[in-house]
Amino acid sequence: MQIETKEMGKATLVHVSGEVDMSNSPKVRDILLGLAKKKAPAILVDLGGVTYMDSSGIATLVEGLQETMGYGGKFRLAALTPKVKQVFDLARLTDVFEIFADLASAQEGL
Amino acid sequence: MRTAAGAKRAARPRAAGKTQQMRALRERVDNLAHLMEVTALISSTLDLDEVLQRVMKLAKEIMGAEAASVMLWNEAEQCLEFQTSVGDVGVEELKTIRVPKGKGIAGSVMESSQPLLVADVRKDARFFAQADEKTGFVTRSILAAPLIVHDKVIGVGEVLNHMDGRPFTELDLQLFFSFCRQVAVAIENARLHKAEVRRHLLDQQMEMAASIQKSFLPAALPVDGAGRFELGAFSRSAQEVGGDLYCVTSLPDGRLGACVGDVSGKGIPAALYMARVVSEFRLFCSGGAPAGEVLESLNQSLSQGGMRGMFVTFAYAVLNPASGALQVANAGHLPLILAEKGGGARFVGGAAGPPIGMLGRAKFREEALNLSPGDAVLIYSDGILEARGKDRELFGEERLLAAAAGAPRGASGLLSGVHEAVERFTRDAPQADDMTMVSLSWGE
Repeated sequence: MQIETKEMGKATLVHVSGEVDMSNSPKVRDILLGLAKKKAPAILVDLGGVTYMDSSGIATLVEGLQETMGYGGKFRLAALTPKVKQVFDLARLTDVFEIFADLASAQEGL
Repeated sequence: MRTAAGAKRAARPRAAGKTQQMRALRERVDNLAHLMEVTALISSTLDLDEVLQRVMKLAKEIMGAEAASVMLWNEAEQCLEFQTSVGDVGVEELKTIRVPKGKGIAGSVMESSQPLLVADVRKDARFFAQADEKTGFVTRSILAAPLIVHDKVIGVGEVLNHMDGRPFTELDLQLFFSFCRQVAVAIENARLHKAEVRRHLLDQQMEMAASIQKSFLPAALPVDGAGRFELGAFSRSAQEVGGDLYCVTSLPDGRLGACVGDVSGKGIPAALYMARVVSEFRLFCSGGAPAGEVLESLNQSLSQGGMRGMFVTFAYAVLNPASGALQVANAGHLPLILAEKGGGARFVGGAAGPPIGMLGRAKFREEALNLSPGDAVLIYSDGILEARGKDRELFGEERLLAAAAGAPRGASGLLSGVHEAVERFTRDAPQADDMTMVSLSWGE
């Protein structure tokens, strides 16, 4: 798993790739909660390179979303791979997250 | 005669040398005996303070010293600290002293990993008088040796002032160094023992947590005297405590409720959350409210309370044993399986809302099914679907459906059929995730 952050205008882009599971989701959590602590106005999580995500990864995203909502920030997911999208559809996580097909559309209206 | 006398005279020094050799040998035997005594002591006592007190008393005695002490390296503070002392100095006065690496005699030994003999401290600039000032003890001569475990210096042993008033010698130093090797082993054993005790305590607590968690699962399944329905349940955690739950309950209007939930994460936090989910579910379902409403109440309650990042996927089915009508509400959980009497199996009742505990405002639409006599339904956790076989291959949806379709009829038949298929697939592979299944069949 690899994770990088980059400032993109008002938003902070968090690019995650590889397999997200219990062994590395704490790293994702540290980064997302670190951004939420600084009250980043918008966090865009680019999941374009994620090949697998277990429930600990999802829990991490949920926590990021909850923290961000706590101060009125925006938390968006972008570019889900078909495999990850299937998990999100199956568990109806699409009701919880703002999900965008790609980075460009995720940045609109920020 | 002269020659003989001369020879005799010449023999005297040889005899004297022999006596000296004998004495040295006896001393070595004595020393060896002392070391064996230390070794015996070390293997019999595991409390660190007690070991050090007894060992350093022995060190003082063997070395004929006025005082002996052990300082241990504090990794966090990067200094040596007095752990124990015997003789005319109290360790309490010494406890406040911190010696950095390279400072004083002990600090030098810590740095060099080599034993050090200081015959007269007044002539050694490295001597650090702080301990003497604190205790009023007057140090004249010191032996200091590193305490080495696995090539790492963990502290420094010291003996002060020979009782006879003479300075310590190289021979004393060698003996003390050997002695300190044993002391280091004693410290290591005591530390390992402490870690072992702690681990044992944690294991015990984990076992207790597991049995407390089991108490949240149904002890027995409801049985219908009229034989209109049958129930089956199976749950096995991958670790001592798990995040899966199931519940089966008779509702006041005669209907039957069954649910399976899967809490995010594992271990104690997941187990505590699971206990809360089960307790609140029992409360909300007890009045016989529609399945969707029960999940909405549960979701509202669990979304409050600041347990961020915790959630539970949850599927709840309510059967009317009189009609075979089945209501299913599903919060982010895997779809149920309907195993039809005719032999087919298909997924039904997929998630109608997100997992519980994420957002308080979620709605959960119910799916209504009418079971035919002989139909059976399986609610299961993802540990079943994601059970791994050879080459880490997943059990998967197709195998699950095939197993359900080919399983013997009835709730117990469906449960055992799927269970056996999973067991055959995983063989002896370690279980990675919690596995839970609840089955219910209607009619016949």
